[in-house]
Amino acid sequence: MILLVLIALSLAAALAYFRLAERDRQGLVDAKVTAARMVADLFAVSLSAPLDFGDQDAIDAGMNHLRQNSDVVYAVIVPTAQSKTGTTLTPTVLYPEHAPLGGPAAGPPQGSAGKEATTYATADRVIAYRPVLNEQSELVGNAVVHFSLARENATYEAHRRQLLLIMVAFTVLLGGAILLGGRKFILGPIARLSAAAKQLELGKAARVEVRARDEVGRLGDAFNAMATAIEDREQRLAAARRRLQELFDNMRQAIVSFGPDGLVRDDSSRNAKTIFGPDLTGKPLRDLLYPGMPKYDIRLQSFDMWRESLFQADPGTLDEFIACGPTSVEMVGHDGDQLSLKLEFRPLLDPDGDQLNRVMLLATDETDRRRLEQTVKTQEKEHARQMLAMRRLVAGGAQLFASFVGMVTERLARARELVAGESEGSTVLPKKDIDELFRIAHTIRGEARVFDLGVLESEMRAMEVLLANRLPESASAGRERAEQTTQLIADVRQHVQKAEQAVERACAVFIEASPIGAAVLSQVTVQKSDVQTILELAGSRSDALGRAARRLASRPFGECVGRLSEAVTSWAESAGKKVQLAIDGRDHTVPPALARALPGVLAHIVRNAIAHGIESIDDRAAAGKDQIGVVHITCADATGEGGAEGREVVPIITIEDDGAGIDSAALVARARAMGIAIPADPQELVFENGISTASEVGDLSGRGIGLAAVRQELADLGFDIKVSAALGKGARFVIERMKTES
Amino acid sequence: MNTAVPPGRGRVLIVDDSEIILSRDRLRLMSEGYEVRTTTQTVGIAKYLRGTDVVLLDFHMPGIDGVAVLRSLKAAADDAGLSPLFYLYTSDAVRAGEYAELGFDGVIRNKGDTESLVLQIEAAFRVFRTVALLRRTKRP
Repeated sequence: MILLVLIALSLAAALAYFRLAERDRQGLVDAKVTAARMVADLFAVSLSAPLDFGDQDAIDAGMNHLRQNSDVVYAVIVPTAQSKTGTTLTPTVLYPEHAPLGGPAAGPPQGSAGKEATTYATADRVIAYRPVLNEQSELVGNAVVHFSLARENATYEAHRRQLLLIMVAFTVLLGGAILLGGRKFILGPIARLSAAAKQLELGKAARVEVRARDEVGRLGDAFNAMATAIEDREQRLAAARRRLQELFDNMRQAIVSFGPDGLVRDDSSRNAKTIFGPDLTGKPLRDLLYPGMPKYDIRLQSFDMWRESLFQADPGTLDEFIACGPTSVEMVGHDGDQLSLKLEFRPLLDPDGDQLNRVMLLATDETDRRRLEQTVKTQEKEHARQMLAMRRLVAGGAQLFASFVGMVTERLARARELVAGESEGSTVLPKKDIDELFRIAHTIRGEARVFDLGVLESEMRAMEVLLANRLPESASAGRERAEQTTQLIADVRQHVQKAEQAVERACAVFIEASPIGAAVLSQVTVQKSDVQTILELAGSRSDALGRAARRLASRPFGECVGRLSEAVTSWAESAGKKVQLAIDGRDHTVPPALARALPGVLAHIVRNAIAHGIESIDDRAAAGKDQIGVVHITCADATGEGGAEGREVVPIITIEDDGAGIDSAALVARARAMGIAIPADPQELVFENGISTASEVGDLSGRGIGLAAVRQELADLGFDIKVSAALGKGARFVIERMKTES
Repeated sequence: MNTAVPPGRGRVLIVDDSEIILSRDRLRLMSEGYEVRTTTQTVGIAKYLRGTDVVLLDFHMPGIDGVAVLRSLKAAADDAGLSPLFYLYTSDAVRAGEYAELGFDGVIRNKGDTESLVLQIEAAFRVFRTVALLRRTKRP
């Protein structure tokens, strides 16, 4: 601006200069013209008589007189008429070398009337034309005199230089004054205003010192007022923001918001930072909700699709689109804990209400609640399982329980026989008796587990341990061995006694738990005894009566597996595995003796399958198998005639699993180490006493005795058990009637 | 072919060669309120597309040309004016990333993990509902 002012000033000064200079010259020229006019007039008057009378000498004298005027640079007198004396005059020229180009202008200038005197100026001369008239006003000649303007021009040049200097000096001084003044009174305050504005932009307090009361001063006042208003507004905004943040932080939800780009904005609650991490701003929300997922995961794709659709939707349909969003997420939080979050999304429209600006996410941590729900569900499931078990016991399983009670009582009686037959202090307990005692304990333990009779089970387990530790040594003799045997017998008696008490209590509980319990027990007992009587009387017959007696005594296979499903679940959980039990052929019948033995046999085989066959979840996944292992029990009719009229049903029972199979090589190695002969089929070694390739003997199984006991028990009933297994694929046990040689 | 219970959160058709997987998945999804159809067959199953919202297809069933099965099902759906979503059902992470090249709308991974299956099916139905809503509210 100042530059423009300076330029304008310079132009004005230049204009003034040129005008002044022009006026100065004009003045000089005018003065010269006036002087020239006077001189020319006098000269013309002086020439009137000489020209009229043809007096050349007078004319020359007049010319010489003119010569004395230093300003005259040219003159010419031209007679125009014959003189009165008859003398012919010629033009007289003064300074002919200074004649103007194009010849002397002897006549009147063009455009004049001939008798008119004219005086005019050119660039370097003043030219005066005078017609010379006699007394009769007759034109007798013309006189033209040129006066030089050299002096005036020189004076003009000198004046012009001075004027130029004056104007330049004036312009410089004035410009400098303007610059200084502008700098001091305009640029300086504006620079201070600009600096203050920058400070304000950076968020700092800014004020300008107002010294003048002019327009710039008023501008400064206005700036100060504006800065005060801005600071005040920012403080109020900051206060509001703090209140909002406090509100967010005190809400139990984690609150974040995101825009169309899916990135988290900078208004997150404290809980959000706790869950998702401290630096949320600018992060994609989907990476916070689904950390570490591959980009093709359906949950990520679903979220991205929903987010994009949401921000493109018509505001009137936002509620419907919001409903398509995720409502919960399972994720690993910032601190590594597994979290369950409930998600609620709220749209935030712009002030006009016609565009979705942001979306707010309220995430509620429901981890504890869901764990509690899961615990309650598990407990409810357990309760329902127990209720179902009790219902089965009371309704249908009562018969099974009654059978169990009968068999356990018989077995405990046999055990008591084996150790009571020895007198107090006896030191002899034959190996075969020890084997039988072990089988009894092993079988009762398995069956007790099926009915959840914990005390009975633990007594039998303890008895098993005692006898198992004695098994390899029972053949040897020695005084120390004798003392140990005496102790063993005493301990076994004690365990048997406690087991008998446990059975009595179980019966009492069953009766107490069910008003019809006693009646059922007695009815079952009665029923059992009646059927048993018939079977004893006619069961050995080969005719129709015999077959009918055997069919009457047969029990449905479903009774033998009544509680196995629930037991499998808890066994699998104990082993940290997932196992599903499938049972087919519940309606097939099995002989009564086999029906009594099967619960324990099946429980043992299934528990073996869970403990040693079915792999852990991780191992199954690594082997490309489903997480859930399957144990499949099937009862079929070996005759294939399905119990046709008059035909006897011969059951064949298959227990199959999809676990790891049997490691025959390990079995062979173990057998060799124990000095046991290797059979043609190495897998038969699983039925040998003492063979177990389990590295640990756990709660479920693994002492290497059980299957031997199972085979023996089945053999006593005329049934055999065989195994076929494929390493890595599973094992298959088949229980079928022994083939009798005809 | 096993069909399921009364209408609920949507209908799923699962095609796989493992009866155990089908059985387990059916039970789990039914417990979450979905209608579930399962089959080990790959021929003649186009009729089950009617009413189905989401189809899970095991692409690598032995002896089966997965491409042909998928194309056949999609063609049948188009002919009938149906628009279910087709998902590759796999536990193979490498194959999972190729779902788009194979012609699927997405992938349901971690086959064998029923809990993950439930979460992914929920996400698939969110996609299904969003697509339907977009079609209905499409601006002219």
